[in-house]
Amino acid sequence: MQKIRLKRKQREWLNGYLFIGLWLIGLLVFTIFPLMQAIFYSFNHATFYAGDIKLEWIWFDNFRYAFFEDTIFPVILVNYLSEIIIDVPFAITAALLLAMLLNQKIKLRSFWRVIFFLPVVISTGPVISELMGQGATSIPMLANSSFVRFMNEYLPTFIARPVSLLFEKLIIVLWFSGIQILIFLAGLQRLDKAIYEAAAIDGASPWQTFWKITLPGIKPFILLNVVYTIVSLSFFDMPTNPGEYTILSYIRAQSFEMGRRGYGYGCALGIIYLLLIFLQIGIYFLFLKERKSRR
Amino acid sequence: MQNLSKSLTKAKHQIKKVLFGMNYYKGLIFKIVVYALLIIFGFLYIYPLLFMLVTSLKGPEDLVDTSIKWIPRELVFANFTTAIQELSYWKALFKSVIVALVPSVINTVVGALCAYGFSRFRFPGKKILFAIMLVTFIIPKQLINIPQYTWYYRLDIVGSLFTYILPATFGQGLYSTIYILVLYSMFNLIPIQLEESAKMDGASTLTIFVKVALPLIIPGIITVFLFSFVWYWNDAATAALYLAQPGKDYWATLPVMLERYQNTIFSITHGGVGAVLYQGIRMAGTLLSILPLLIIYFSLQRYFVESVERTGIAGE
Repeated sequence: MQKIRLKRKQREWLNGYLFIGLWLIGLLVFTIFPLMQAIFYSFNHATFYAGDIKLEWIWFDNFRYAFFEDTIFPVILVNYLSEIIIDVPFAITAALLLAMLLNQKIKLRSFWRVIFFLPVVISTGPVISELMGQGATSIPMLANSSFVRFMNEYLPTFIARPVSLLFEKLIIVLWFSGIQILIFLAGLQRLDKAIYEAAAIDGASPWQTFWKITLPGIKPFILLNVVYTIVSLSFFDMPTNPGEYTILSYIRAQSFEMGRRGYGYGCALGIIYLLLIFLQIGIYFLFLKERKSRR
Repeated sequence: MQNLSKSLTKAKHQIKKVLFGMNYYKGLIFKIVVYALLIIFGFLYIYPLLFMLVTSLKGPEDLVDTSIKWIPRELVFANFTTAIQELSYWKALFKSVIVALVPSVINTVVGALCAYGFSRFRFPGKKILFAIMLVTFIIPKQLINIPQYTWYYRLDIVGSLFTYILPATFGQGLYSTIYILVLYSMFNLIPIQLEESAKMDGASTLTIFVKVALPLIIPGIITVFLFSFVWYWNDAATAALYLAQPGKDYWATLPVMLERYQNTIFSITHGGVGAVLYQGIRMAGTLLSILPLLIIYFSLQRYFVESVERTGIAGE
């Protein structure tokens, strides 16, 4: 009996590994191995020429150069951080608001959903760069409003810049919340309707209901959406004017254009970027977890 | 007199009831606020598309005239014919379809296999592997692409479809992690009894997977395939790196062609005043490059929009 059970168990193991086999090989070959390689390159002065890669071990020089000698990277790094700190909460709030609107008993519900989800299907680099280049992504009334002008005049640049930038690409950030709206919507539909009815009978206002019932109920979805928003905003090749860079386009320029510091430097920048994304997710994770346990 | 005041208070109550409702949610005010917000946001969301459509229909005179914003004096379709020429539209369209289609089919098949493995079998290291899979979602593909590019260069497959097919075959295609997760949670939702009874009848594991489990999650399979198709289509950056290097650009996709055309115009006009004259063509080109996606989206929208709710991915 014992023997048969063990055999069956082993067969289950084998089946499991067979089914995930392709993926497992891919994980090792196409993700972990190149990641290791990238980490290794980042400690080298690596140049690639005619199929040969030349390596010269230089310890942390690439990282030192990035922060202390490179004149461009620190600037785009600060720009990235100051923008994403504002963009993520904005996108999440908008997604939550829209999900709650869609969760009401409204007419043409699927029509509205189709509109709010549409950008997920069409937002690509060239399309967005066309639209941004023509000023089609900002509402002129907002972007040129006296509020923005006031802010640009009286607030320090590191606050004013990301906020006025947010107004300029307001629609793009909204466009990046399509999936999040659906995730929130799925979350909202899981909440028990009876609780809302009970709250309404007790005379709770929508405002109170939101803070006391809705928000705690969808907290796990907030974290999921934060991670998704950070990743999708960080990995999207936001178009820039020629001569300007985002971190991603700068990494590509350093790695693949001749006469730059080469692959090693590109890898070092990529690893800094990866760590930054990890760090952000970690911070949001702690922030959203801690609150939950206090409750 | 008394009667009048009585009926007045009654009317007051009636109005209040209509405006604010019995419990806020049924009141008129609440409804108005909901619809107003929906319309405002809806307009924000499609504003760029409207802008694109209108601009692509403008002639040179209307483009220069700043007083004409939304309604062109006459509809000009010449922009579209020029854009079709400049982008070599039909060729690029065909190539885009192939470039998106082939890896998407592979992505879906391999994703389903892996998802089934995670969903149905217990094996050592499963939890750790699953966690690693989630973490790989956070690794920028731009970083991975640097070493990969050197391999592909050595294998001499830069510019060929293999740069897309290889990673997809091994479950590391574009956003594979998301698809595996979606299919994983769909497999988890279907009852295991059917598969068990098939097993009793002596069916092999692979037969059960193909004949019993897969048919039950066909909507999920379609959703994953469609998303994969759309996102491969849109991935201009990877296409530019792997499929459109100088001299090896047979598979240049529509987004790549669009990007090139943008650069050409920029080098002609240097962002000067003349650029405005090209706006119509550029917007027509942009619209043409996403037109197939719009058609797919609007005709199959339920697979896109209902997917997240149906899969229950959000619960994982």
